[in-house]
Amino acid sequence: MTEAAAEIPNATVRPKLEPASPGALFLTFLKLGAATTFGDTTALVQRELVERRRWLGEPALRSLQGLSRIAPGLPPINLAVAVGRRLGGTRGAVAAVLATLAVPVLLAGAAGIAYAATGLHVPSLDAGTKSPGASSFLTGLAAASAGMAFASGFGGLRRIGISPGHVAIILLMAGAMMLLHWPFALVVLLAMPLSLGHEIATGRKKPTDG
Amino acid sequence: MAEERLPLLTLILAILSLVSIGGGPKLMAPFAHEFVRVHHWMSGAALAGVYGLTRGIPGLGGMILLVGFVGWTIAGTAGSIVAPLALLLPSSLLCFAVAPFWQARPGAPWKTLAQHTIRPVAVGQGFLGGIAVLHIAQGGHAGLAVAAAAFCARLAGMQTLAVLGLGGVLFTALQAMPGVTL
Repeated sequence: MTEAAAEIPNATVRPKLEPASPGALFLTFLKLGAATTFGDTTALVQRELVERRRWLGEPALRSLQGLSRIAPGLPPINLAVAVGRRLGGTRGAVAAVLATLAVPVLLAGAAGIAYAATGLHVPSLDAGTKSPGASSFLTGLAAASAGMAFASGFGGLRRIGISPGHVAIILLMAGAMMLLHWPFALVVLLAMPLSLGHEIATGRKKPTDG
Repeated sequence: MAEERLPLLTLILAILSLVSIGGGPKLMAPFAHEFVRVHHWMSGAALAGVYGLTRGIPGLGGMILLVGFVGWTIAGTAGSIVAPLALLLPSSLLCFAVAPFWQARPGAPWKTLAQHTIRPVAVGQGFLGGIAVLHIAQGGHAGLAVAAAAFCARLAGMQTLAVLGLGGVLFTALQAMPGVTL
């Protein structure tokens, strides 16, 4: 990551940043929130906030994107909170979050209403009464989405490095959850110090600034 | 009965909000644990089915639909509104509080340490979610086969809707085949 080097003050001539009006902030995050439906919005966020709107410098945005990914919760929301706060204080954060959620909530609401209208009922499907074929299809959907979750987990593992330490942490988490039936919060509470210890023990490979 | 569950549901989701890093599959392990195994508020098949269905709407929309639907199943209409709020508010407030500190120290070593510490745990949460969904879906060997196929298809770059659709069809076909036991 070159983020540390790029944030040395006055190392480069920075482009002049524009102020963010509440309306523009809302509209931009409305667009970004809607775009999450179509896939990863990392590049779009950078194009909008840094290149088009010029509200943030690239290092600052990447720093906030990093935060949004490791903070608990959903990254697009975290990013809206962080960027909104930076550009417009508390009101900016609230506006950015509401805008981000607007289209997804409408979509979810529409889907929910459509579902209710069709009269399908997942619990009764589960009982296998109405339509065994549909019940099978749903189980197939679930199995496929589990496979997709593994694929995304594998992609994440590749990004951080498929090291024995990382694999061990994941296996321990899985064991605690599936074999010992620990609650999720406890599993995370176990995994964090392990991960910290692993990180300190293996040393930081990339030099950091300061 | 639905109303009685609402406070506990809210509490569970609020705690989850603070320990679940990233969305999507990462919520499924705690959902399966709390709602199916511990409290018996939903059947595993129902939760798995809802998860699979909501993957058809990627991104935030799918997440809201998933949580809203789970909330509705467990605690009625009030649950469908409270559940997403309970899941989103605590983490948003935390991020709001932390963001200025994060910004104030560019390049600080503790930030890199935090990232390298948290990311493996987040990855682990994703794997746990996949395991949980597979477990509660109870698709047996056919389910495993479909999950494996979906895993490969996804890594090869197949689109979400295609993977889901083909997975549903494949599983139904496998189940219908004579001599195939779950």
